[in-house]
Amino acid sequence: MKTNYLLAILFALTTIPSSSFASIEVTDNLLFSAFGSTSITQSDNKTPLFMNRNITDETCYDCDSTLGLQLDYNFLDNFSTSIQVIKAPENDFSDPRIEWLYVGYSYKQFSTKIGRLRLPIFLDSEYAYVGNAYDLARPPQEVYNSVLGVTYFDGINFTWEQELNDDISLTVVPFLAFSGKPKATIGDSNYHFELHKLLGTAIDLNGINYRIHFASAYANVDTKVENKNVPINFPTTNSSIYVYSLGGEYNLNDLLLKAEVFANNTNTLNWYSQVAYNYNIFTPYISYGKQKAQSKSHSITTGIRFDVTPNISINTEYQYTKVDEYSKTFTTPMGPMPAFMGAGMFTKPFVAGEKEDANVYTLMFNFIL
Amino acid sequence: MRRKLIRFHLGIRGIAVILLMLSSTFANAKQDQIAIFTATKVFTSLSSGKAKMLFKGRIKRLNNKKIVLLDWPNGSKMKKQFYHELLGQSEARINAYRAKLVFSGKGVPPKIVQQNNYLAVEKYIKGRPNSIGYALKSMISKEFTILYVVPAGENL
Repeated sequence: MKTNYLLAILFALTTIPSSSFASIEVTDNLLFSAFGSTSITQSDNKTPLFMNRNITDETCYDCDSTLGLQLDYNFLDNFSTSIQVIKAPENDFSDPRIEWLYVGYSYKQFSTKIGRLRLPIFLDSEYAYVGNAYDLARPPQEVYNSVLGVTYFDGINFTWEQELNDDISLTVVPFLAFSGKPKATIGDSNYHFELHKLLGTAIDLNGINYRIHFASAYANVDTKVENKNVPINFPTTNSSIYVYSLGGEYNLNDLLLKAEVFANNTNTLNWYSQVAYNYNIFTPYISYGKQKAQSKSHSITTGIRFDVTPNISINTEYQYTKVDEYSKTFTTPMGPMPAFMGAGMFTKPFVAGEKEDANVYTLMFNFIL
Repeated sequence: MRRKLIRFHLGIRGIAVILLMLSSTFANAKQDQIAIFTATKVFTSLSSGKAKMLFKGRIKRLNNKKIVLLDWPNGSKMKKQFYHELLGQSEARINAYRAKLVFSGKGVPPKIVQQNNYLAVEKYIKGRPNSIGYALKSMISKEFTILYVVPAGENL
């Protein structure tokens, strides 16, 4: 029902002739923007698929529902403040969260932001909830789920922007988190983190037709995992986590090439590469992704994005994902136990009798305002 | 014989006149290229690369001064032509690209004039020295500084 409201909003937007992105200028300095996505999706496997989306073999109308509202305010020439509230796929509409809230200051090519900020690990991670901003219906799950769905931190960042020449600019963003206690839920498992330290750097090289993004981060964290089906906790303390990502996109006229790889110090190596071609309002695409972590899996995604208006896009997408290797047990101090987590892109252990792959069909609607 | 010569001269003159008319039409067509312009003399001319980086939102300052970009209304012929010729991209692709900047907190979209005409663009630019807009070169008043002329068909 809630999804129907979102669909109604989307439909209303399509009826506004050449409704304008971006944003509604409330005043000269105050800007309101919004984005949203919703889908009709189904797989052919009973086991829930994709973190925070949990798609099964039943037609799902709100597995991908996302709504974001953003206010930007500029004041005193060099200051800005911004708030973004989102209902992510895992949230109820009645339980949205503050995805960012910061005050920023800029001076010449330097700027800083303090408050709640997006974690700039991946090429698209700062706008990963904005379906209209990228070609696929969902960001490639192999890479974008690598940090357990943690998308923001409370802390500070500094930005240095430098034009290397007329055609290339460089942006360097070191960031530092204050202590925090982020949470994540994957399948039946709740992850409670206690962040002692998080620092990192994101570097972007921007050309007219390309962008290269590199990020590295170090976190010192306590983790506690609770599972509904396994009556014990698995606390780990003072874990040192190092993550690295490298991605690039290149526009060759109407052709868009994109690839990204993620690695960490626990032997994870996830990557994807994709090709899209824009012809008028149609953008057909194909993407291949591979995950090598506690389990190994791969997926192939193909679809067409339709730009219905400059603000509204629709994706029709097919994805095949397969778990290539996984362990049915895991080791604990008490001995081996049945695995309580999903393998590959699946979020729970396989439902009895289900195969280890899935075909997923999606019709996705996206809008920006 | 003399009559033939006169006819020949008239023929040559006729062709010359036609050629002149054609060249004048061609010159007018060239004048109808789109130009990027501003009201201040502080900014000088832009290279092709810098003009593209600017309207792609890759750079937000010129001469260390914050600038405000101005767009024609969405769906307008001028906006479509401008982004097609400058960046080779449709309005939808540009909007998707701008969404990346806005929803990552890395930029603000260009201001959009309410009316789909040059006078509205001129009025806005005149009132804000750091604003940069675009229009047909032939329409831009001489009081403004032309920063870059988009070569017609550069990205077609």
